[in-house]
Amino acid sequence: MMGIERITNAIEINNVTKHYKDFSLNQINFTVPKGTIMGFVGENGAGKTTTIKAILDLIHTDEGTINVLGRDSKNLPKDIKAQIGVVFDGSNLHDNMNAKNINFIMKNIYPNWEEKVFNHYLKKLNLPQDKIFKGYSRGMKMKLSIAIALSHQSKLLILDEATSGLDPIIRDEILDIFMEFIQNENHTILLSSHIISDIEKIADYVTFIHKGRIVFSKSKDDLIYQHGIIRCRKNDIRNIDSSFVVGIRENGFGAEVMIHSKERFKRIYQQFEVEKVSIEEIMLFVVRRKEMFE
Amino acid sequence: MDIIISNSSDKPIYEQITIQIKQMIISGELQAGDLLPSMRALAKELRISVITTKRAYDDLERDGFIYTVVGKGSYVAKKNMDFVREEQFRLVEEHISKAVAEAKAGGIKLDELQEIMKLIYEEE
Amino acid sequence: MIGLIIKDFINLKRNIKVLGFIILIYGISSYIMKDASYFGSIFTLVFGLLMLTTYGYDDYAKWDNYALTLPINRNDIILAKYMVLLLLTFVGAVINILFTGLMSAIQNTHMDTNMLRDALIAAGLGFALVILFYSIVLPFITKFGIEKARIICILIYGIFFGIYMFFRNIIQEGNSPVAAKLIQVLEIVRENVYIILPVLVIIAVVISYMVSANIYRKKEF
Repeated sequence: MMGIERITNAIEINNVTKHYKDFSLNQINFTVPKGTIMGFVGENGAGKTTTIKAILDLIHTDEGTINVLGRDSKNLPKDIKAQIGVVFDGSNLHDNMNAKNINFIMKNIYPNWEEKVFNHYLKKLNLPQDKIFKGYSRGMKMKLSIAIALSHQSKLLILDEATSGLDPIIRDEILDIFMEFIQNENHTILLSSHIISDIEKIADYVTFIHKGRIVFSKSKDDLIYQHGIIRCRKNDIRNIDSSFVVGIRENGFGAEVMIHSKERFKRIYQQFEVEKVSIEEIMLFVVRRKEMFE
Repeated sequence: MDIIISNSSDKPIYEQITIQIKQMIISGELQAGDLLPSMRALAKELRISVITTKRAYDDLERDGFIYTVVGKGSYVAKKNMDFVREEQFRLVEEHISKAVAEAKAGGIKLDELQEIMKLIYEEE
Repeated sequence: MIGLIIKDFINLKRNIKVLGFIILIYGISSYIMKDASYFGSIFTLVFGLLMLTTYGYDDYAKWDNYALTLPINRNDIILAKYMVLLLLTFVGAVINILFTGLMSAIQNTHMDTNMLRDALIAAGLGFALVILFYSIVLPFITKFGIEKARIICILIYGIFFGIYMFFRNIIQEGNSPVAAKLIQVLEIVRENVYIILPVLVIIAVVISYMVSANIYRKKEF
């Protein structure tokens, strides 16, 4: 067919830079391996949406190259675009249309549109065929956008803040659908979010962007197993080799130190109890450290 | 096949999976030639990353407990007695480490500890 | 691309109710006044604005960003818009002709060739004017978006409106010497209008499309 089997990475971003008046993306580098879920995290305004726009060729980059499904992202051929399902924040649909209308429209845009699959998802997600989108809740709009993205034999899903503003039950439903999607090893998901808990649930890899730069891009397992938090007295900090230290948080009664290379640290500093960390905590500590030195 | 993972355990999840599958193989619950769930299916059921299950399966294969046929899946390997024995030694060491830590914390000396071990072993 | 054209027409369905109302009111007024061109002018003006509302709907739905992720290239998106423009305006012209025919049918006057010719010319003129209007306006909308381009639209709309009403009145009254002179000139133009106008319209649309497509290719979202 298209040679998707031969591709290793669904998305490759190389040294991408983009300057705006008061914001820049600087030397963005990361890859999304095929068959995985990449969680793209960062605070609001960090550059997630800008990066995604660059991937989708909605904006032109000043430097760097991007490959999507093995091809240059600039002027992606239509047949490749037809395999990419995109969901922005779900409200890109016209108020006076309904699901039936969308089906009719998409049938005439996507050569690989599957009406049966679309109707299946409508049913599964409890979305009415005839109700116009003006009467849709935010959650319903999101679900519909996702239904569309899944109904044209997509190999790659790109979702920008697709779960923001949704209640936990719907979020869980949607995450389940993503996990179902990724059962096929030729399918890939890039999911950006500032809701870290969603990312922690399903991501295989996590890329963290902060103020337009990539801070890290690693497998979720590596992040969690290699980082740890110790709680100690403020004086103790002096005795810790700073090369282990990711960040420090002091309070009135002591300090929390986040360390990496957890196994090596544990061998050297057996007096400290090292606790597990969440991705969210890693991000917070990393940002603090950066800001200490900026 | 039951695999139970704990997020609060000290052990990384891939290790928890590896240990449980090894135990099932040693105990005979999983027979040689049995087909294991795919990495992706397991990841989905346990709601964890496919990289985690892949790592678990890679480790199991490296240690000789399973083998993978491309396009078909992973199967339980014939019990290799060396590996089984190694695994059993590892489990025992783990338990004894805990006993030793407790003994040290409680001020129990080495010969006292050895005495306890001898009594318990000969009891059964 | 066809899907995009369908999208715009589905959106316009909502406007049909209002349109139907207008057709009714002005149709009846026109009939009472025994002047088909009254209906024709109003209808053309209102129907001609529908194209702008398609942009309004897209803007409100933030559709453009999403459209660019579909398996269509930027030229297709612009081309679809121009197709909608031509289709929509054509439909409007047909409705105009039908109305004239309807009126004569109701009045039981046999619609002779002259009347038909006049009806076709009126409809054709309306068609050409709307297309010319949009040929100027669409590149602006493409560049600045419907919100910012509104003022330009109103300005150009006003100019076209003024020209249209001016000529219409001249032709209707035809009494003053200036009018007579103008009509003389117009007659010459009229002889050749069958060639001049279509050519002008085609050139205008093609240039407009090329400019819009160029703008859109470079645009950032």
